[in-house]
Amino acid sequence: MTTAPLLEVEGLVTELRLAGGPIRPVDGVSFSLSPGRTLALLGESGCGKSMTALSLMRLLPDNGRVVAGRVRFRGTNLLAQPERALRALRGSALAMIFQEPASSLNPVLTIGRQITEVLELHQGLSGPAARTRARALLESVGIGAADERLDAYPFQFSGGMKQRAMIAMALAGDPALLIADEPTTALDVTVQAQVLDLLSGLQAERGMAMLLVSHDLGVVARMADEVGVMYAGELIELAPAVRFFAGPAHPYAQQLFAAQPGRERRGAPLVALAGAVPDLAALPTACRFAPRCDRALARCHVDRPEQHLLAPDHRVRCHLYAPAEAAVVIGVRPAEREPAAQSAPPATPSDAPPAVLLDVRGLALHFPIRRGLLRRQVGAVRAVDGIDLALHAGQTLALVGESGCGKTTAGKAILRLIEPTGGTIRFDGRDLAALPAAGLRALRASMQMVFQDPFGSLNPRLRVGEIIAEGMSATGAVRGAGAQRARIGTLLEEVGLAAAMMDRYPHAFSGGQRQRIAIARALAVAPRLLILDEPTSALDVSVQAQILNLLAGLQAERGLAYLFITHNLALVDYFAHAVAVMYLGRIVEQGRADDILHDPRHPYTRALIASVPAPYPTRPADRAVGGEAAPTVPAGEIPSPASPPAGCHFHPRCPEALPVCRERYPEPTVLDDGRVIRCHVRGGGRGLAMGTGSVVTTGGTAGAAPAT
Amino acid sequence: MGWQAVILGSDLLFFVLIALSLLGAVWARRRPDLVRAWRRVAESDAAMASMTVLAALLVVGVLDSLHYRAALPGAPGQPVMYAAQVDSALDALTRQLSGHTEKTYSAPFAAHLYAKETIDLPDGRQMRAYPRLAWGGRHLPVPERDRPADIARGLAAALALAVTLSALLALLLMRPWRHGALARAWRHFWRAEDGVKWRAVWLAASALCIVFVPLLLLSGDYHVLGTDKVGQDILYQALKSVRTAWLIGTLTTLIMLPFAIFLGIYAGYRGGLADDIVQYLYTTLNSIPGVLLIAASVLMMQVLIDTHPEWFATAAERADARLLALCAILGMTSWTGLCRLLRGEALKLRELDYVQAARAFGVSRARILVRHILPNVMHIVLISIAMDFSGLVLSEAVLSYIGIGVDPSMQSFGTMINSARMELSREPMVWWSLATAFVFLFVLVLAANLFADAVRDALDPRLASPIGGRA
Repeated sequence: MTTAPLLEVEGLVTELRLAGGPIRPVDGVSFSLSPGRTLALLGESGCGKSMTALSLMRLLPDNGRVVAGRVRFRGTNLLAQPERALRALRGSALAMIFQEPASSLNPVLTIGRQITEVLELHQGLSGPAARTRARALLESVGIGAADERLDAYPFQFSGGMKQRAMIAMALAGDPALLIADEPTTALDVTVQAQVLDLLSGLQAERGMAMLLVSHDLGVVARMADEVGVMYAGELIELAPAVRFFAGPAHPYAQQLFAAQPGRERRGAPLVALAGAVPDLAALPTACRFAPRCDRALARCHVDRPEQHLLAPDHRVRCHLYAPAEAAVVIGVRPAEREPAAQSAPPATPSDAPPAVLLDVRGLALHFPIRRGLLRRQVGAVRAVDGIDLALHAGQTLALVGESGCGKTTAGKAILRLIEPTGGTIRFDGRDLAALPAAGLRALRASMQMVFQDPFGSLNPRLRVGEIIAEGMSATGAVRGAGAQRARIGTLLEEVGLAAAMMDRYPHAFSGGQRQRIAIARALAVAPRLLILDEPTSALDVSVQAQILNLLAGLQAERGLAYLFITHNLALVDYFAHAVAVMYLGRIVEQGRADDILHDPRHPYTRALIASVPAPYPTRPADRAVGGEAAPTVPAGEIPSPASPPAGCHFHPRCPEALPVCRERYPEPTVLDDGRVIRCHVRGGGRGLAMGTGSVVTTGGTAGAAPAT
Repeated sequence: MGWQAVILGSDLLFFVLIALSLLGAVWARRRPDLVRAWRRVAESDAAMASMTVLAALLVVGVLDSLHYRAALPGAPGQPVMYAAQVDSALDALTRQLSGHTEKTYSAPFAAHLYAKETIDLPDGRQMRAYPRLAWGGRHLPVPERDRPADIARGLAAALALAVTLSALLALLLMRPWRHGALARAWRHFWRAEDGVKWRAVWLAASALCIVFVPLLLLSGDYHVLGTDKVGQDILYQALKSVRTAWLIGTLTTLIMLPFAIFLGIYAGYRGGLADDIVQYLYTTLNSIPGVLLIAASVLMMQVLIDTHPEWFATAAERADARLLALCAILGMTSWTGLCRLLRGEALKLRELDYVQAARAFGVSRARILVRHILPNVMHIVLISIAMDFSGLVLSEAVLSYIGIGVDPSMQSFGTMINSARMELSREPMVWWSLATAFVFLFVLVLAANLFADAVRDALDPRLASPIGGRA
């Protein structure tokens, strides 16, 4: 902090002209950033984080402009510079990487051409010199065989490699400031960990300053030196990361922590903020957070709060820290985040589990690959390749895995939305896979699905009431318009909406409200099993907490069983009774949530857990799981299910792989705590510590629970 | 004098189409999303002005579709006989145009024929001169001397009438009784404070008044746009052509829509063999040159009609059957584009979660198509109807030009342009027929295109969101 700041932002105000009048997505933001440091802008969507980053680069949309403030970069005000001068700075001294690597690269140019373009523009390099430099850049972002990769097109790169290539392009101009706008949000958690490691390594090497925009507390904790929390266009708290994670001051920041699901909150409802981030066109006039704040004072609804200094480098925009109130409030710390809540026992009933409701054996779904003139089948994408699942009535089974592992396909195959190619699905004793279409229709009322994208799951042309009534009519659960309307009203109230909303169209609702409608639609036919396909991954953390509380309440009330498909391990830890970890179409480890998340055995599960950035600042070395050596983040990415590696699918990425792993896929092994694992190293008795009990190898079938 | 209503096949379809559009409008009023979309259309000056022009042309088309046969004067006590000639309401209203037939070409506002003829003088001698017209400028004793003053007088009166009409219309649109003061009403109207650009309607309507009121008023005494080879008034021909253009532009769409919609969404949703068959069908149709296919079909149909004269009671019915057949042929060959669009869209919608949710409830395929797929592709259908209209009108002109269009007894812009082929090569050149067809066709197609653009902007969800990025 002794060095002069590289970037100073003072009172930045950005305005967007919209049909309904101008709005201010960035309203009076000030911060500074020194070389070699990272400032993270944290907040939910719609809070103005990205717009702040774009304003710094003056890359606003056509209807936007900066109306006030100064952005000093190395002492010159960027906002006063002519466009020409700024263009010279962009890509050289100032570089930016975006969220979606797939759409940030030009698909018809080679990666090498796109990197050398930057080099030609900003470094004056050309020809072989540019190529040499481009190759060095690719190597520095960890892309092997860089010489060949230079001639590859973006479609030949995986998601993580595309983001690495984007970083290489950003580095080509040798930037002093790197703006990273949600750089890992579109990536899988193991790849995210790799990219974050890469970014911090590069930053240390080059002494770059970095402005990181993120909604993920874990990512911020992993990367940031300083944290700025944004809410409704304002920077409401700015503090060093260590201070911030030790105790955020602003009630909003505290609530963000409280809304994080995790093991320590298991069995208890999450602290969920009511409502959502306010619409920028209709902001509260005083404190923008006051309507949702549980500690709001009378004056919070009247005066706009000033910034108060808690320490020389810790600013908060909140009345609670005004000198008059401070005596009362300071010292109040947010809910503890250490796993001290062990006293609240997990809701897992450890003895005598209820009856198995859904019993899946050897479920397989292979998509044929056809080639040639006669469309002969030359192979198959084994999206789901023989999985066994057992879900008990009233419980939650989490199906966890990275994108492309087949977890959503498995969920759809269980509902027979996609016809499975093999295996049995027994629901309440009856085999679904063998049922004809008519018999299946009768069972439709018993199992339903909630989808990931709340914007794609509701037909925009139908009223909410019609959407919810569809299932009732189709399955005959409730007949008659009057009875249906009455039931829809009750359902809407049950999911926390008003009965009067049934005559409105989906566009009138926010993402969280739409997800509530989707849940009401599924509940309308009184199912016993809900397949939840990433139901909260498109939602902000505070809204996610609301939905999770709703789902937990419904489970307790109605005894619903959930098959919870997710990639988010914190959710699993909070929510699930049992876990099945999926990798390339197969389940590699399955058992009770408690056992698996806190004593993972399979190297993939261990890697997955190690990759999740914890929402408190740590060094990579501290993130050991169990007492053993810290598992490293696995190299590489999930391979294509069309051509999985021979032997154990995970062996190319596995740090503990043995020669036998290359040869054959491991058989399931039941460990002493009831978990099933498919691993030569950990399951076969040749690996590291195996626990105390005996190891039983079963044949082709294995269930997490004894058959009833 | 009595009359007998005649409903031709095309009239019936045209009225059904108009009724369906009205019903659709009533239904759309209850849908907030559609109301919002159409309000965006109403906010566009170009859309409102082009809508006014289209509405005026539609009135002409509708009037021309009200057909009847007049009773012939007969002896009392005998059963009433009706004329073989089928007339329309437009014919009755423009009797001064349809009845005033000259011998051959005459220029606009002329009092003499365009060609010299041999005239027998009373004294038995003969001379070559431009004979006086039977109707045009008949009331002028000495046309060379009186004509400019007469036209100026008529023009002044007509302009006065046009301005009065336009002022009345402005008053009607401003609705001062709603706003109290006239000045306030004007402000409200001019600034489109209710979001609807009435001023564009007014400006377009006033422009139409200023052009057409003088034309129609003067058309009693003159052939304002000249006459053609057989001495028929060009303005009359142009007005009659409007109906043909409307029919070709709308009925073709009506015929092609069921194919395009059903095959498109079924193929896209169902996939597999059904998809392969539909794709094969439209790829094959598309790979045959369109004009060739249409020409072959039209010629076949023509032979069929010519060999069965007993099918048709009147010449009008025969011409009508030929028009309908042309629409059907155009429709059968032009559904492929929309079908392909809809297939692609259905392919995308099929994977959307709300369709998956409906399948999870066991909703039947037909119901999913009707409730979930169809309503979500209707914007594409509507946009393509609007966009195709002008293309079809133009293609009729092309087909008639190469001689495979509408019946020769039927007026259309295509036949007008076709006849201009000879007229342009004669000396001195006859330009007014082509110029009139050109101006009418241009206005119709331009208005349709502008309107289609506005409809697309309003209904296309990709364009609907206001500018602005993530905050």
